[in-house]
Amino acid sequence: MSLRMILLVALLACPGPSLLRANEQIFISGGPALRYFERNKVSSHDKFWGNFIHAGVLRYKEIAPTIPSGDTFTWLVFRPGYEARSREAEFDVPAEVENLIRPTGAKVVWFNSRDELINYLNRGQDRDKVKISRLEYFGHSNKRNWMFDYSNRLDGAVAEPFCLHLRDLRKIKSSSFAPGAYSQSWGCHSGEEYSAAWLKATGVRMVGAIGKTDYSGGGIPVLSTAGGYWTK
Amino acid sequence: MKTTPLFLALLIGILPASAQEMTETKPEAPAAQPPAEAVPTPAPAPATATPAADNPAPSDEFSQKVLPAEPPKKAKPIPTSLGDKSGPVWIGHRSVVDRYAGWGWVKKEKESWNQAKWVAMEETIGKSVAPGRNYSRPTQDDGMTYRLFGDFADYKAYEPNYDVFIDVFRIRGWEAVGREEIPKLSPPRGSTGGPSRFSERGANMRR
Repeated sequence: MSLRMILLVALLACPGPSLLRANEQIFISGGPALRYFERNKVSSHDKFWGNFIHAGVLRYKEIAPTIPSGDTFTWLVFRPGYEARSREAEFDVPAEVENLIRPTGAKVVWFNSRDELINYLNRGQDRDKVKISRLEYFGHSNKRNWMFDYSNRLDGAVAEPFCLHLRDLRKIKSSSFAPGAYSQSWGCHSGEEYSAAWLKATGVRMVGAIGKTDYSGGGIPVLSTAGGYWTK
Repeated sequence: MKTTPLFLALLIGILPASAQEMTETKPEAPAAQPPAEAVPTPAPAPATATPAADNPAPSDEFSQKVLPAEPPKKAKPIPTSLGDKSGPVWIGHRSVVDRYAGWGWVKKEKESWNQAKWVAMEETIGKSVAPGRNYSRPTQDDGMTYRLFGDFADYKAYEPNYDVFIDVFRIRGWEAVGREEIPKLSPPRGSTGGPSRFSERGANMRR
């Protein structure tokens, strides 16, 4: 067998580098709190229903030039939170969510629970072929939990099936991610503990905030704690 | 300058959905600037539940503290009972804790308060809500005891200040019993792993 043939066989036998494959870029948006629960609080959350969508749209514009052509872009949105806000605000909030996201070209996938989210990450695509090369989260969080439903079904709390706690991260398959994948949580405090647990569970580093983040300015979230910073 | 129109066009192009635009077209738009921080008034010290007392939570991010009540425009009578009062009776004691989510303590009628559970209240807005919603601020019934009608949910609630999962009571109706003292009780604390420099301070405690 010639050297050329050996190299060809070796090339075909090796799994292709992720750069040559179409990967999936994922944004995740949690839901807004209800004004019914929040309006009289000193720390009142989510005066605008679309903080976690609008911030993502602006973030998309920032990263769009770096997204390889051929990659798919999927936006996972927590449906119950927007439906509940819809009943309160008396207009079709999920339709507005889709309108906001449409210009990005993302495929909107509504999820109804933590388990549905995990299922999508593990099996939403053929993960042998389509790996996740970017995952970014916009929503409520503390250092141990992503809270998709904060102060929506329950005043000041989160229904347990509607959050992704540290203890749930082991259910996410690390094989779903491309080598060198990028992840970031734009929620509060994720860099204090969540990022490390994410790395342990998925093998992917997650940029997270030390301190609080603030969506209320209407743009990409900014750090709002004195001395706060993003973990690398 | 020749480049000005192009520059302006580019500038407009990169700002397709500014907060200002949202303000004009969408309900409940984001403020252009973060709202000025409200000045909290000292909350009444909870008589029976003080989870923050020996483990202070400096962050007010998920605080349940409410703004001062506005003077009522017209005195509104507070109902003494509401909703569906069929089925088993539970006894509930409203306890307001600034940095701890939840409604208060719930027990069976013949149980002692030591057997009570700290609960988050699942409410159906417009139908069956917590009794305190009838006040101008929902915390004004702190210290009240009620007969509650409803059941415990088959899921838990995540309490974000102390990283703990608590019970959920689905309220259908209630009757006021009155203000009363109950034995000092402590809501559950973080149960995720052993104590750490984080869990000692609970969630969101970083200054």
